[in-house]
Amino acid sequence: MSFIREPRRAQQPFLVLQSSVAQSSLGILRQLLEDSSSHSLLFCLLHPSLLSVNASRVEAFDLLDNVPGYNDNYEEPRHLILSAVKTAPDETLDFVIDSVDTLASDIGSIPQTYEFLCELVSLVRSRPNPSRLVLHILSPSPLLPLLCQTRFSPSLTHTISHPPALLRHLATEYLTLPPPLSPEAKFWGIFLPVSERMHESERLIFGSEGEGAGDDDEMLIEVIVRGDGGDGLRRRCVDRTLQGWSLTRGLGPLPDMVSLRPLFSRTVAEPSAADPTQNVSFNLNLTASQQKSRAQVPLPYMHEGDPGKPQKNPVASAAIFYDPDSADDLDDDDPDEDLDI
Amino acid sequence: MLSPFDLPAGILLLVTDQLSSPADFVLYRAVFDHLKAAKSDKVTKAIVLSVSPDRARWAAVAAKSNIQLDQKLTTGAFTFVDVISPKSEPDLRPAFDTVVSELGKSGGADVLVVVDDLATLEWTGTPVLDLTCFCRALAAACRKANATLLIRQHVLTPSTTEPILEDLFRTLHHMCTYHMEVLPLSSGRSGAVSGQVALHIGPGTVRAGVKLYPRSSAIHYKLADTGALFFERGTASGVL
Repeated sequence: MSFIREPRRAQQPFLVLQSSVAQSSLGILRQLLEDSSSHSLLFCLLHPSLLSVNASRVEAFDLLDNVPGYNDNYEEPRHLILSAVKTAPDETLDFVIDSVDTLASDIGSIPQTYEFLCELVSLVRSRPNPSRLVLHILSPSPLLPLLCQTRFSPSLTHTISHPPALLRHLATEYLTLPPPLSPEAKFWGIFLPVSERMHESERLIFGSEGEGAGDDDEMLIEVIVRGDGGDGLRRRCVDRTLQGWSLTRGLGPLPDMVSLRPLFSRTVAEPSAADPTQNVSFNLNLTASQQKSRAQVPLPYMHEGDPGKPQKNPVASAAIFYDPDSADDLDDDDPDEDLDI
Repeated sequence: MLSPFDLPAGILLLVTDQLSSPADFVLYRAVFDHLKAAKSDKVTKAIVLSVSPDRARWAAVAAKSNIQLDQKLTTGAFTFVDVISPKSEPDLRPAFDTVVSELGKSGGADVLVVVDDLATLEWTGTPVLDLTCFCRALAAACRKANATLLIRQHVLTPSTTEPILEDLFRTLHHMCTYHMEVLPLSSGRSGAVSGQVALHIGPGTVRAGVKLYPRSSAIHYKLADTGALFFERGTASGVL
C-alpha cells in the first residue's frame, strides 16, 4: 500500500482512514505506525492497543484518561495537540489522531472541531520537511463529509474499509463478480451505492445470517486519491481503487484474499443443455442408409408443388372471391345513377 | 478468565445479550470464578456496578457456588455499587469515584470490574455521550490498575433481518477488546439447550492466541442450578 510503504507526503499530506462498525481500519493504522520509515506522533484518545506499537518510532500521547467530567486535571485536547505539533522537531513526521469522533465529542462542537482540524492541517503543510496528518474516523460521522471536501485539503488520500462479505453478497444477490472478472464500470456502478448504504454492510455482519463481527484478518480497502497520485504525472483527478489487505500479508490484489477465493475460482463455463440421447440403454442414432431412406419419405399435409406440372393459375394475381348469401342485396346498377348533381 | 474461554486479564470485555437469552450466568460465572481463584499469594477482588441492584440475588446465586458473599463484602474482596445515586438524575461520577478508590485500595490484587448494565440508562433518557464518557473513564482507570472490565449491554432482538445497533452499542463495540454475544438458538426455543455463546475479537485488538467462536460455530450452553454447562454444537458432551 503506497501510502504506508512509500508515502508521498509532499503531494499527499492528508490521510483519512475510515472505519465502520462492520469493519475497522485499526489494523491498517497499526501497520502504518509499525512500517513507517519516519517518526510518528500518536495522539491516543480511545484505542489503548495502539500504545504498544513500535515504541522506538512512535511518540505516543496517552489521552485515554483525559475524559471531560471524570478527570480533575482535564486538559483541553486542542491545546495539547497544537502545542505538541508546534514544538515537534522539523524532521518528516506523521501526526496521527486515533479517534477524531472522540476528539469532536470532547470539544463538544462539530464546527469548532472542524476549525481546529483546519488549523492543524495548515500547520502540518507549513512544516519545513514534508509531513502528514493521519486521521482515523468512525462512520457515520458529521465530520467526514467536511474533511473530504477540497476546501479542507485539495489533496486527499481516503481509505474506506469494507468487510469481504460485501463482495460475496454482490456476487450472490447482484450476480456481479469483482474485477477483473467483471467490467470495472459495471462493478463500480453496483458496488458504490451498496457500499454507501451502511445498513447493508451492518446487516451482512450483524444480521441473522452474519457472523457477528467483521473479519479481523482480511478486509477490502477502497482507496480514493485526490490530487497528485504519484505515478510521475501531475494529475488533477480522483482515482478510486479496490484492494485487499491482510493482517499477515499486507496489501495485495483481490484474488489473493483467502475469503474471496471461492469467487475467483469459479470457472466460467457455458451452460450446455443436457443431451437426452446420451446415457441410455438403447440406440437412438441412425445409420447412413436409414437416414437416406427417412429423407425420402413424403411428409403428409405438406404442399409439395411438382415443378414439372403446369400450374392452374400461373399468374398469381390478387382477387377477392365473394359468395353472397340470402341476406345480401347485390345490385349491379350504379346506386348513384338517380343523382342529378 | 471465564472458562471455557481462555480470555486474558486486563481486557475490556463487552457482553451483549437479548431478552430471550440473558447473560446473567456469564456475570455470575466471571465474578465467582474470579473470587475462587484467590490463593495465598494472589488476592482477587471483584467490583460490581449495577443499575438495577439485586444484592440478595447475587448472594443466593453465590451460595450455590459455595461463596459467602457477605463474608467477601466484609473483607473487601467483593464490592457492590449502586450506579444510580439517590438524587433524581442519575449521576455516574460518584460510581466512578467509588471504583477508582477501590482500585486504589486493592494494592497488587487482581481486580475484576463488572458493569451491569448501561442500556437501561440509555433507554431511560441518559445521554449516550454521558454514558460513553463514563465507560471511557472507567476503561482508562481499569487499564491503569491492570484490572479487567466487563460491561454487559442489552441489545434488542430484531423482528426482521435488519439488526438493531444502538448508539451506545456502537461506541462500546469500537472500544472493546473482545465481544461476547449470548444469543438465542436460531432454530427457536429448546428445553434442553438454553442458548449459544459467540466470542469475537474487538476492532484493533491483536490476536493473542485466544480461541474465537464466530456465530456459525458458537458453543451451546445449558443453565443448571450450579451454573451454565457449555458444549460444542452438535455434541452432548455428557450434558444433554
